[in-house]
Amino acid sequence: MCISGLGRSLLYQNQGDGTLRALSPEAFPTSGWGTAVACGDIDRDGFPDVLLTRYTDWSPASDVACRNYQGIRDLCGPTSYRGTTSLLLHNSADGTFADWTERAGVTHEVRGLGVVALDLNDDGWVDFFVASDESPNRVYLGGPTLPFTESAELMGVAQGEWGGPQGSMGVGVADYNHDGLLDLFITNFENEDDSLYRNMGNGLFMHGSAAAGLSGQTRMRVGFGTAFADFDHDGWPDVFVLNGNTSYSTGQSPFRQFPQLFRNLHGRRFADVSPQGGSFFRDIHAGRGAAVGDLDNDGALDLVTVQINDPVQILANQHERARYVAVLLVARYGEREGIGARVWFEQGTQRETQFVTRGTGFFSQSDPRLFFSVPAEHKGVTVTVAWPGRQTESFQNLPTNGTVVLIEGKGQARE
Amino acid sequence: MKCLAQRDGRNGMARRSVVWCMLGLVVVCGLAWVAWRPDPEALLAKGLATVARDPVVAESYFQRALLASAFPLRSEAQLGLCLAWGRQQKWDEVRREFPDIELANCRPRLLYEFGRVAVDANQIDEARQTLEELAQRHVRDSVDALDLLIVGYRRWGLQNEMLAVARELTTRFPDRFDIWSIQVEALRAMKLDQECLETARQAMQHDPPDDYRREFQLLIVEMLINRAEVETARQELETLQTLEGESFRTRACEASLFRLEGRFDEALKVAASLFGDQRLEPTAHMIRGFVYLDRGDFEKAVADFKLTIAAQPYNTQAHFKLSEAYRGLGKPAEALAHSRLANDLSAKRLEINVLLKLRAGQREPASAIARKLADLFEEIGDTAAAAHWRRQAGSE
Repeated sequence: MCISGLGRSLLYQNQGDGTLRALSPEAFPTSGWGTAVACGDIDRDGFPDVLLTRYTDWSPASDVACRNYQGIRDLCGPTSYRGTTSLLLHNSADGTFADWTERAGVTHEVRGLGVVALDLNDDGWVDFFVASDESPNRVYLGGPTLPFTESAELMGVAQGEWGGPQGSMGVGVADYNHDGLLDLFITNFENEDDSLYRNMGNGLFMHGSAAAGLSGQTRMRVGFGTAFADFDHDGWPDVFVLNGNTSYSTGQSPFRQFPQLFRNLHGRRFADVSPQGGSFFRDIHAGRGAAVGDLDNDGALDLVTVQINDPVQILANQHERARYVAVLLVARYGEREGIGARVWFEQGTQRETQFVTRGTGFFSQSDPRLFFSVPAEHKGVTVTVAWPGRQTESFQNLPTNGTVVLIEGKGQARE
Repeated sequence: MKCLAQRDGRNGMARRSVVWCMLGLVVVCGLAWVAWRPDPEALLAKGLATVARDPVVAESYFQRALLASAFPLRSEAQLGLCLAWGRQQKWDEVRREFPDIELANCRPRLLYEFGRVAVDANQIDEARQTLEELAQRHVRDSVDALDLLIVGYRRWGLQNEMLAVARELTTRFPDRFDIWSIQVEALRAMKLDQECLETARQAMQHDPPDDYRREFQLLIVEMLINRAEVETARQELETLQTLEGESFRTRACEASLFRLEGRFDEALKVAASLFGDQRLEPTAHMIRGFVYLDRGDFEKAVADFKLTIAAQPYNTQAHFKLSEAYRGLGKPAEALAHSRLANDLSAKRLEINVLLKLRAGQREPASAIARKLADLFEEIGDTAAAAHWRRQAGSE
């Protein structure tokens, strides 16, 4: 378990006896203002490495006194301080990590608030997407050799809908239009739409917020936590956004804000269904972290949300129960969790694809299982896994309404 | 010894006589000065009456007034002198004298006149100090000072300060629709959308004349479209259509609303009706390009954005959207080239804002900043602003 923080971020090693032990600063060398963390095996040595993104170079000594539009002392905006680089910590496989930031070329200045480990260009190597506050987002494309190739601008995910950086924070990953490609959803600051980046293939993305009906819907909110997941069992990933301002008075939007839930209308548009989301959606919150997972193993994805100065809330999904299959990947020829793998479930002409990623949401980790809704009439559930950089194999006749562990090599190999 | 003593006594008497004579002379001169000294008030009045048409003569009046006056008139004489120098473009002299002036002791009209000259000459620090002093007195001339400050703040890129003045003026004089207009435009430029919408609605409550009413109503519609409040936007658009009938602007809003709702065919139909007026065609291409882009007609989107760029080569949004359309077509090199152009233009605009603020806060002449501003404005295609800053650089 990794906990980021100011000054030092900690990695706790499971002792196997119900206790955790923090690695020493030498074994896990971090510094600065650690924010989001994601793990992925960058060099296919079988051990997950860590990308810790960091925020600004703020310190008590460099603190700036900022005031809001009414002249009252308030929180400073991100541009009051310089950004910093992220930290790439390579797993030395002996219980220690080495700082490979320079070697990996993770040297771009960011005000990082989100990081996701994923395979963005579908080449089988782990990449990292870094969401940066008021500076361009970064994409580090992995490959057989280091350094990473920074490609956010080329891929079209560095900036907002009108060009220029945005206050990017939370990150969601899903194939919202069933084209088999991974799309991104990024939460942003007020007066900026949250960004849906539609994957056009060949490593190129374009803004899809306007075309998908999300333009303007989030403009007057400050989005933090997010989940890009199928909450209503229709096989199309919906969008949850947890909102809340950073300042008590920006004059634009309040400190506490309504969360939002958008239903995916078969990959074409998103409809705001927040009023049907339950009591949580009828109240205002100073929202921050959000993670998604099936907490009660009923196949319906629940949410855990964190609010400033308020208790953590668990939103149990009350949607009518449906048939499902949950899969957990165990890789045998690489890092164990199969980060970067692509998994799909076919029914008729539709193919629902999901991706093994780490770090989505905001300062959170979500359920590692992938959930597929299975229509009642569907027989013989088959799930196919494209292991990162390795073979593709199908797992047939999976039992439904439970979690299935898919072990690499145990399925039927596919072309 | 006695002789010596007598001689010393005589010398002492002589010296005392001389001292007494001198003292007497001083007293007489003093009395004469008191009796016939020039009236500093009169000299100030003469200086003020003359300064507009003959600042050199006015300078001599103010110099004499300065010699003749004591506190508190002295401050006014000093400011009068600065006014005369300012009118002769002797800003080095002004900068030497100005810090010693107690502005609180100066009459409103003098503050205003000097402030006006300083604003015209872009002497930011001096202009701000005098006009801000006058503005906070809440006298009749304070309103004129606020008006001048708005002009200055706008020119110097001090948006927050400009907004504060506009807020004050519209609160005190809600029928000043010119100021409401400045206020909403500033809010929009600063992306303070919520306040912009509220301000436009407030302005409408004060029954503006038709031309202003139409502008405020348009702004309300556009703000509502920005935040996807489709139904309210449609209602407000109907009001706008009542005010100005069918126009390019109302049709552009209609197209945007259809686009927002995903009704792309209807949006395209309306967008087609935007063509006809050559001056507005770049905007029409832009609006239609957005719809094509959303609909996935990337070739057509590219064609439209290219036509916008042909007419407006420095249009940042058009370059960025063109890069998106190229990405849709799977042409990364073209996409990258145009997103870099857009970024470059945005970066230059940001740098301009930073330089304007930097310059506004500087006491010393900053010809280097003015030259840099001129270059940057040139590079983003704003030739008028470039020429202005080129002149400033020359005069400093």
